[in-house]
Amino acid sequence: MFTKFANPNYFQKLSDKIYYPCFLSSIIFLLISMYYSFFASPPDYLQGETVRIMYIHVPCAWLSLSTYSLMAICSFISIVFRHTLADIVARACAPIGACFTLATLITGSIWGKPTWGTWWVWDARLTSELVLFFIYIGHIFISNAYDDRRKGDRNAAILTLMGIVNLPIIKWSVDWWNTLHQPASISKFSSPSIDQSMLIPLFLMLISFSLFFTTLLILRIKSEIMVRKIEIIELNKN
Amino acid sequence: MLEVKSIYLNRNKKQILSNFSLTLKKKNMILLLGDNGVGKSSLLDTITGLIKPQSGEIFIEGKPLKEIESKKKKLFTYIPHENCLRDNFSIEENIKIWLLLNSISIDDKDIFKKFNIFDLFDIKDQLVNNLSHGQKKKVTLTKLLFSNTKLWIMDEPLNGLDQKSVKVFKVICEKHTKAGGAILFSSHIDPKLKITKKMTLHKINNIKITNEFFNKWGKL
Amino acid sequence: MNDLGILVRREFKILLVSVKQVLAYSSFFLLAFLLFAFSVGPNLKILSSIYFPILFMIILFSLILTADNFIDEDFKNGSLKELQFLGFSAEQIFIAKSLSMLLSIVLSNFFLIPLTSLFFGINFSIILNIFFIFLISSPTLVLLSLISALFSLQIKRNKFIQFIIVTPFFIPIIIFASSMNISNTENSNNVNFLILFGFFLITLPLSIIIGKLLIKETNQ
Repeated sequence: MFTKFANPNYFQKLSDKIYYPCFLSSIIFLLISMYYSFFASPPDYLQGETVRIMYIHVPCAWLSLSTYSLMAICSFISIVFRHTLADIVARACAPIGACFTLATLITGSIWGKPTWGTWWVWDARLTSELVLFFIYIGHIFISNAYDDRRKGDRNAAILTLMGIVNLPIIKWSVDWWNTLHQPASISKFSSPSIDQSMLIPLFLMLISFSLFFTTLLILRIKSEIMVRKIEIIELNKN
Repeated sequence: MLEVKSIYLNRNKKQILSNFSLTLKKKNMILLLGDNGVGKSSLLDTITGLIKPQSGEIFIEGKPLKEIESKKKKLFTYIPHENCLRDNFSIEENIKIWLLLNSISIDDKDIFKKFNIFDLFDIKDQLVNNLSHGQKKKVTLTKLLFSNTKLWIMDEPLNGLDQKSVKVFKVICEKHTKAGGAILFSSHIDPKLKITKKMTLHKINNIKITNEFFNKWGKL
Repeated sequence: MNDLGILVRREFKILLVSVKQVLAYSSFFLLAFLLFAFSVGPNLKILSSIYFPILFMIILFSLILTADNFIDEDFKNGSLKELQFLGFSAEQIFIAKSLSMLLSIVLSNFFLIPLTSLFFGINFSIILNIFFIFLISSPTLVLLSLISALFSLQIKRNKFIQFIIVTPFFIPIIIFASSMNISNTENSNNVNFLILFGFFLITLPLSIIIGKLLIKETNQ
C-alpha cells in the first residue's frame, strides 16, 4: 500500500484532491470542538474552568509526538531507500512539529501556574518535551546549513534517527518516575479514566488539530516540491 | 585485472557517467581524458569504492568490489587528487605512517634509497607545511614506490611536476607495466607514454534527466 | 582487530605531535575557571558549592570546541578518504578517533581537575568522587561531540550548529551526573552510576552506526 503513495504523481494528485476537504473540515471540526470545550463540557471538580486548557494542551502534545514519529519513519525510508518524497515530507514536518511542541510547552506552563503554582518545573516529562523542541530546531538548522540540498536532507535524517531515543522517554516518563505531571489517562488497553463528557471534546479537538496538521503538511510539501523543480531547472540551465 | 561494467553515476542531480565501461588488462596503461568537471575524479572514486554508483559493477582481479572491502590495499594503490599528507609531520614521518597503514615494514636504508628517486632525500626532515605544491605531489607519488600491488590508479599525477620529475614518472610507469602491472590514470597533460588506450569522458546532456524528473513530479 | 590497532597507532602518533592542542584546551579550561571565580567573588562557600556544575559545563564546552581538531585536518587534506580506500571501514576509523580523543581528554583532565579544585577549596575525597563521575560520563560525551564534529565538517559558515545539535543529547547525562554528585548515599550513587553506564551502552552502537553514515556522506 505504501509503494502506491511513493509514486510522486499519484501522491500529488491525491494531495490536491484532499487539500480543500481537509481544510474545510478542519475549520468545521475546530468550531464544533470549541463549542464543546467552552460551553458543553463541565468544569473540573478541583481545577474549575482552567481545565479547559487541557483541550488545547493535550492534542498539541499528541501531535508533537506523532509528527516526530512521522519524521522518524520518513528519515528511515530516506536513508534506506533514498526516496526523495520521504526527504520532502520530513523537511515539511519539522517546523510544524516545532510549533506544536512550543504550543505544548506554553499552554502547559499556562495551565501549570494555577494548578501547581509554578510556571515550570524540571520534571522528566517537561524536560524531555523541551529536549524534543531542541531536536526539532536542530533538524531545521541542519537541513538548511549545507549548500547542497541533498546533503542537508540526509544529515537531518540521521539527526532524526538519533533523537528517536527521546520519544519513549516522553511517553513513559510519567509511569517510570514520580513526577508532578499527571499520569496517562488514556491508553489502548484499559478504559479511560476521564469522564465521557470531557473525552468527547478532547477527541473532537484532536481530530480537528490532525486535519489542520494535514492541511499545513500538504501546503508545505507542495512548496517544497516547487523549490526542487526550480532547482533542477537552474542546475541544468546549460 | 580491472573491469568496470556499465556504470551509471549521478552527482548533484546531474548524470555524470552513463553506461561507462572499461577493461584494463595486465601490462596495459589507460589514460582518461576530459574537460574540467566532466567526472574523471568521480569515476576514479567510484572505482575505488568511495562512491556507490546508481547501477553497474566493478571487478578487481575478477572479484566484485563488495567482497574485497577490507583487502583493498593489497589489490590496488590509489593516488587521489588531494595530497593525503599531514601538515605538521615531516616527509619521512608521513611516509612511515603510509607504510604503517599498509602494513609494510622496510628498513630505513631502503626508504631513503627510494626518496632519492624523486630527489626528496635532502628535504626528508622538512615539515610538509613548508613544501611547495610540486614537492608535495612528489611525496604523494613516492608512495607508489613502496607499494607492491599490481594495479595503480592515479588522479592527475602530473599536476605541478617539473620536467625532471615527469621523466622519472614515465620511467617508473614503464617499469611497472613491463613487470606485469597495470596503470589507470587521468590527466589533461599528454605524458607521451606508450599508452594502450585513451578514453575521453564527455559531458552528458542532462535534458533527458530533466524531462524524466518533470514527468515524475509534474511540470512547474 | 589488527586494522583497528594500526589506526589507533596512527592516531597516537598524531596525538604525540600535537601538544599545542592540549595546551590550547588546558589554557581555555583554566581561563574559564578563573573568570568564574572572579565573577562569583571571594566567598569560598559559594565557590565550593558551584564547583561541580562549572566544571561540567566547561568540560562540555571544551569538548565541543576541540572535537573539530580531531577530524577537520584529516578531512581537509584527504586522509579520511585515504583511510577509506585503503580498506579501513568507517566504523574502525570512528572508533580509533574516539579512543584517541578519550585518552587526550582524560589525561588532560587528570591534571586539570585537581588544579582547579585548589582554587575553589574542595576536599580531596570529593575530588576523587568528581573524577570518578567524569570518568564514567566521558566516553558518552566524547562519542557525542565527535558526532557533532562530523555533522559540521562540511558546513563552511555557521559552525556553532554543533552546539545546537549536541545539546539535547547532553542534557540527560548532565542531569544524572549532577544528581550523582549531589546525593551522597550509597544506594542512589549506585543507581546513577548504572544509569550513566546504561547511557554509554546505548550511545556506543548508535554513535558507531551514525558515525559510519556521516563518514560515508563526506565522500559524496
